[in-house]
Amino acid sequence: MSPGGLSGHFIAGGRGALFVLLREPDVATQACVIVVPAFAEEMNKCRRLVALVARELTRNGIAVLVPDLYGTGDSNGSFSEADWDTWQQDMGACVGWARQRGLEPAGLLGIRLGAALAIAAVESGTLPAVKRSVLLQPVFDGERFLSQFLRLRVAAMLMSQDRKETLAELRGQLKSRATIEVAGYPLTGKLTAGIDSAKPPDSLPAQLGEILWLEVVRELDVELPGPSQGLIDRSRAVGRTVKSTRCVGEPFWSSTEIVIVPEVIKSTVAAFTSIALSGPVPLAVTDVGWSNVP
Amino acid sequence: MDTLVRIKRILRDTLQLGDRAEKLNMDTRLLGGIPEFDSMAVVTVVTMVEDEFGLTVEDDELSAEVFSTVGSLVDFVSAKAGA
Repeated sequence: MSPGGLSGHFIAGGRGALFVLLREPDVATQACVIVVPAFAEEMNKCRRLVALVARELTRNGIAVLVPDLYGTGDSNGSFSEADWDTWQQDMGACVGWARQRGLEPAGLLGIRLGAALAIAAVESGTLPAVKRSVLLQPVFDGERFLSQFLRLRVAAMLMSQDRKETLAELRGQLKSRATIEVAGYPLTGKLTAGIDSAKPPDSLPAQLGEILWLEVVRELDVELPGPSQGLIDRSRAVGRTVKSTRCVGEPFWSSTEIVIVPEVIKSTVAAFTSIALSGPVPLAVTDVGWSNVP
Repeated sequence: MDTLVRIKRILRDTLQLGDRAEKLNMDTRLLGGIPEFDSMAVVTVVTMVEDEFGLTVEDDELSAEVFSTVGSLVDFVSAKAGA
């Protein structure tokens, strides 16, 4: 099979067939970046940005694999059947499939809740260690994230004359295993319990390799939120290489219209192209851009 | 910086209002006034207000009154931030 181009595949996932999009460079390569998707509507807002990143990476000789997790996109299952463990297994399945094709998954691109999923998957051993990871506006606190997601339903009530539901009531319904619909997504107690289990780690796992942490801010003089800076500091203290970069732009994962932040694309591509992903793991990081500048 | 200016900027970025943001004033209607102001936008605005002003908006504080006009949102945020 000649390399190059964009191809869609159905592969065996944790519970059912997964649809994955593979973008390969025109030259033969082993290096592959796997995208760990954002949650629900956020991933839809990110698709164009992911496609542009993938196009740039393939121009630089790196293949990119974008999976639809079980119950999402064109993969098997419905959203109400999805759960956190299956999604971790799905990520593992992507790695296995890529290797069968002669690709070496050396980089992870974790977007929003995808960062938490990547951490859960490397810690459970479902995902192998990689050389470099880019965490895009990462989410680590599943419970807080879910509360913000549930707010969509609370906010929708503002638009109508319906009786107002509180977050606590929605949480209670989920606990009693009811399925509630939020922004068109049937949310189950099983899935939300899994997402709730994602806690901010003490430090970023070594299996993620060198990490680029990208946050989008409206102005450069806005500081990183305290919890984010704390996690970066603690990770560096235990020897992780973490670079944090702030890109000025609009929140592309939640904007009403599809938004592209060019700086995010540039930084992400640079992170994966500034080392030889297919080569051996370097003993020391030599490129200046990756020094631990506080 | 003036709360109104910061709120206008949050609304501009969330709703991609562009130049239309210049015309926002305290009396501009939000809910039912700006077509883009849907539930997703409400949540984004609340999240950005929390991040930018360093405050937490409780669930039971989300009401149609708060998002009635630019002015009602500014008053709400000013009261929260001053509290």
